[in-house]
Amino acid sequence: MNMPLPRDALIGSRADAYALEARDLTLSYGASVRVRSATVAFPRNQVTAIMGPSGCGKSTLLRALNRTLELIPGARVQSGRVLLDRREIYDTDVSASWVRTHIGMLQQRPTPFPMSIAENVLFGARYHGYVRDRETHAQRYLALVGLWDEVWDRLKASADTLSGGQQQRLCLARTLAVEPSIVLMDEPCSALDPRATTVIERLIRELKRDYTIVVVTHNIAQARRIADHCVFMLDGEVLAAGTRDEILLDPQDPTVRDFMSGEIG
Amino acid sequence: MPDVTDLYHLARAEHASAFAQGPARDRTAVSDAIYRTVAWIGGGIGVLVPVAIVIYLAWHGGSALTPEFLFDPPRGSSLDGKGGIWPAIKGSLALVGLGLAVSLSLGFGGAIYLAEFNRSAMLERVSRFCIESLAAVPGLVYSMFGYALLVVALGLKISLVAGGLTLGFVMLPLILIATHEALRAVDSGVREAAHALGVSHAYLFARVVWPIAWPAILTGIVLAAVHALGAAAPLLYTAATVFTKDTLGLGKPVMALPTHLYFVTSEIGATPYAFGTALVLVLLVLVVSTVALLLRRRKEV
Repeated sequence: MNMPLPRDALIGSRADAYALEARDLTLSYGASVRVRSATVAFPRNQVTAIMGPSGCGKSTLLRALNRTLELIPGARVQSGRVLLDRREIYDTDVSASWVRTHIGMLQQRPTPFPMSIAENVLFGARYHGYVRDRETHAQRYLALVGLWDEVWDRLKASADTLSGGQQQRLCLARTLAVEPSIVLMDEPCSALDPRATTVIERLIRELKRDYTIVVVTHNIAQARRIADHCVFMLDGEVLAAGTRDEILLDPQDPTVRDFMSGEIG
Repeated sequence: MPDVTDLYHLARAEHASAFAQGPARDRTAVSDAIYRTVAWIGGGIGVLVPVAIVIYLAWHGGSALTPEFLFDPPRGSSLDGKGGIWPAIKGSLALVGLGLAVSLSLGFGGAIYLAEFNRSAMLERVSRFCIESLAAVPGLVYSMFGYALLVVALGLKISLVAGGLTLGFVMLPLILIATHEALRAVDSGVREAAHALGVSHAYLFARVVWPIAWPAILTGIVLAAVHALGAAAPLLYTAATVFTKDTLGLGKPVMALPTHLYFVTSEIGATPYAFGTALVLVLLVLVVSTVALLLRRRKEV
């Protein structure tokens, strides 16, 4: 089973991804409001970068989009809606588990689970009963993130034996194996070296043919390389949103202009 | 308020004068040497004391270790240092085993609730305070509590089950604290990543959180078990008998190694028989720790 899969056959084979939309979303931790009335659209099969300085609420907004925010004690959605292809994800008859299987997430640092490489990939997929044949399922998603050629001969080895960049791609494979439509990424390259960053960024650009992707980043250069759309946040508010060139090259808001020119960071 | 540039120039000037005085190697070398000496003395004492205890016990009690001593009951009608200590070995293992069954179920339950389900910081603080206080209670107090509640009020009499439950109370805070800390130490990013795959809390707990926390939990269990194995006081009013040739039974009083050592030494003094008993107790502790260490090592590979 060491024949490399043609990755071209894997990418672009799915139906259109869903779009995601936040409307008038207000999020708080305890008494303090972290995100105020955020209205943002994340168009289908596009990469949207959420940018802004540290503490501006971009990670909080991201966590509200797949209902992982509610795992944090004290954090809650005060008002507003999040629509996954016109379906409200905070409706009482919608389970958090359902939302999270359709809207996957990649953490800032690699988070391999204490098990083998193959079991890592299959972790969520097996729970949801998507795995008919373990080997082909694991192979498919490892190939999709370009990891198959590097690990095909040690699938049973612990995931800790991989390098940081490989671990991050393994986590991406684990997320994709649950077959989400949308993938959220929270500064996915901030713990990686430049070479591993290049690999992840190339993956993001390729995967948008099959997924809607939202990436939190405070790196302007990275946004320029990967994003189709940009959202700029400051102090919990969305100051600007639009196509990459509108936001990065010709920002109308003076604060956004200062950020893009490196005056503030 | 001084300008930032002023501070900068001040720091530069200080740095320049320090540089002009030449390398300050003497000061760091002296403090390094002091640190190294203190560390070696502290570490050396820490290693020497337990080694010396084992050697001392082996020296005085080694000759007592015969198969009869290990596997026969005491002879005669009272403690005269004849015969063996088999009932005490059996009794100790049974008491600790029973205690572990109690403390593991209660301790795991409490720790898992606090770490995984509880969302109130207040409840967590209050219960941790109570549990930590419980860990500081002397063994004899446990013994009186066990006597009042189990032996008298619940009518369990002085018995294996009363002693086992009391040892369970002794181990409970140690196991609960170790488990709670180990679960809390699991990286929150890993938890979030597992939640983000849409799996149930039980599934991610069993397959991700528990395996990560397990080595630290096992260490806590071993420390608690070894502590209980050597504890005489909690058994004094709840389970211990000076002398029995009877088989083990939940409702019957038992002999235990630490209480046997206590009775023997106060009765006939520091004889090879007493040292032998102490040596067996220490060796048992070593065996338990070593087995746990090996288990943990295997798990980590």
